[in-house]
Amino acid sequence: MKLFILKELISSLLYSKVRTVFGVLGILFGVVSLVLIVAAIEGSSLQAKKVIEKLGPDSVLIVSGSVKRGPRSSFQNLSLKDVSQIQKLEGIFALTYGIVKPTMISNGENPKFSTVFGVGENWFTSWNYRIELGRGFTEEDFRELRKVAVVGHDVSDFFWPGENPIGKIILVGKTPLKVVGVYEKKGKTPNGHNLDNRLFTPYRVFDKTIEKTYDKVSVIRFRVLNLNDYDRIVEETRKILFRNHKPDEFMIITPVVVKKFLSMLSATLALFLGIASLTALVVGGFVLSSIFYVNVYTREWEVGLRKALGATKKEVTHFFLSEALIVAVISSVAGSLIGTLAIKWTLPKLNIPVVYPIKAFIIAPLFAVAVSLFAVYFPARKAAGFEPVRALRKKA
Amino acid sequence: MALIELKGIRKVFKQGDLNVEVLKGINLKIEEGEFVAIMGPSGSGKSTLMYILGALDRPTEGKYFLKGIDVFSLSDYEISKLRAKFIGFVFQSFYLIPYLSVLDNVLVPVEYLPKEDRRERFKGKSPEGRAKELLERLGMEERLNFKPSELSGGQKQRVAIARALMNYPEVILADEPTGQLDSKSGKKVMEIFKELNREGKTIVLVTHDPTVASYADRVIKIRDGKVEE
Repeated sequence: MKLFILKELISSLLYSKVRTVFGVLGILFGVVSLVLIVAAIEGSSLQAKKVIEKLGPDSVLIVSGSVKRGPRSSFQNLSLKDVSQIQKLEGIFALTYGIVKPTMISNGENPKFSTVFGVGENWFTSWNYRIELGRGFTEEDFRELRKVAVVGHDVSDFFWPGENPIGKIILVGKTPLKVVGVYEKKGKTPNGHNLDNRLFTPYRVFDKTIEKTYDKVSVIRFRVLNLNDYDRIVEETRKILFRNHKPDEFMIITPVVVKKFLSMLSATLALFLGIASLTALVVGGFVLSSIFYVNVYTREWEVGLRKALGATKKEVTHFFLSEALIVAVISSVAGSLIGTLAIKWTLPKLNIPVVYPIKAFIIAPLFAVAVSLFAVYFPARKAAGFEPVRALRKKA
Repeated sequence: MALIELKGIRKVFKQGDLNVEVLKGINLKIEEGEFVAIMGPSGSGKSTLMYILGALDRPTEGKYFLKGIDVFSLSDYEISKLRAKFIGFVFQSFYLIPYLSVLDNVLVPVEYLPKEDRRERFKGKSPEGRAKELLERLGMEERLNFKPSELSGGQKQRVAIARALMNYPEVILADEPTGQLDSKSGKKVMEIFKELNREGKTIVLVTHDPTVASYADRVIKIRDGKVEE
């Protein structure tokens, strides 16, 4: 008999296609946005974790730029003076610095747009670059101002595909640099910057041959030996920087700051999408409720007939709630599928890693079912309360 | 014991400030196997009486016994199940559910029959088998999968009769069953009722048409809310 009732319910929904389609659409939008919001939040926190992992819990990063204008590695507000003062702080290691210039490089034949860095010692260890081919920079490279370069895979593969790039000459502007190393592939930053299209050369070489630096640097980074000293060292660094600069010329980025910033970002996202999805679901609920109100009144005689055939109030209520349940199930399945596609298309555009959260695919359908049942409960109760004699007279 | 017994049934409707007494103390007994026509002009209260007999409406006063059960002393749930078990309705407007096939329309009453009664009445037979049997008997075997909109009036009423018989009811209550049919189809429907009655089924039909009433063994006339047998 249960199968027969299911057949009846499906026939009823197929018979009133417009009602079913609008009901499904109402709930479906809610499901899609809920799936999307959970994916966005999970993706953002994954991104936050990745950024913090990359940064390292013991590291301090200082960049040119400000909170208001955003950190900009292309700004060059910091200087070697800051570096030498910070170097004197106790309890730090792996201090390094760099200057950045997005520019054209070539092998004498083909040009390629790349990001060129003039870096201080320790750069590769401090930033966890692993040298895959050749070597990193030596003390001699820095001391003797050797015109050497370490490049990423995108650079070496572009100029010398399938060849060993070590020892080859690369031109930055007119300056020839000898490739001494290639670092292991690093992929992209969470913001989508290609980390493999980079060229590194010692800072002083950059200054003398590529572009005058006037002792300016874009980024300073160091690590703290003992995490208990972390806050103290950050505070002392801040004091040094305040002495040398205006407050909006630099930004100290610590894992705490990154975490705060990213969670603020994901909270904003959650709020925005949360409001959108809740609105969509509430509106969907209203739509479903109105559709069912109209529906129970147009089927008043049918309710009368079912009562004449022996249906109780409970059975009538259940009948309409079951129709709503089917609408919710269809909406959930379709909504989850569309939600999956939405995640695939939307999140990369927002620079959020694509995550398909199982949680979302459970929460959204449960929410859809709850909203649908709640929305249809009132029209269903209304129908259950119809007096059979009056209801039967509605179809003369 | 009579199958149906009405004692002092009164029904008063409120129309604004006015109390309109539609049934003015009806006393009536219908025995098992009878074919009774309740006749009367429109507004005489015959439809109200039919709804009370079908336990679809409660009287203002009086008692109704069906198989000795004091119907209106029961709860709403029990009255619903009493309808599912004992009463089969045939209406003037057929009331076939438009989105269900002919076969499924006939199967609907089984949905509301309590499980234990289902087992007892169908005795291992499938409800679908019975529905098909009834439709075959009423000459509808070719149209099991048709939708009501694809049937003629007479065919619709035959499906409605099959539906009324589905749960093996004690009594068939028919309200103007030929009201929307041409005379030929009407005659066929009345012959079906006659045949069912010959097989022992109790039939109570409400009509204003003397030709329809002539099929019954007993005619009860209602005028101004009173019985004039």
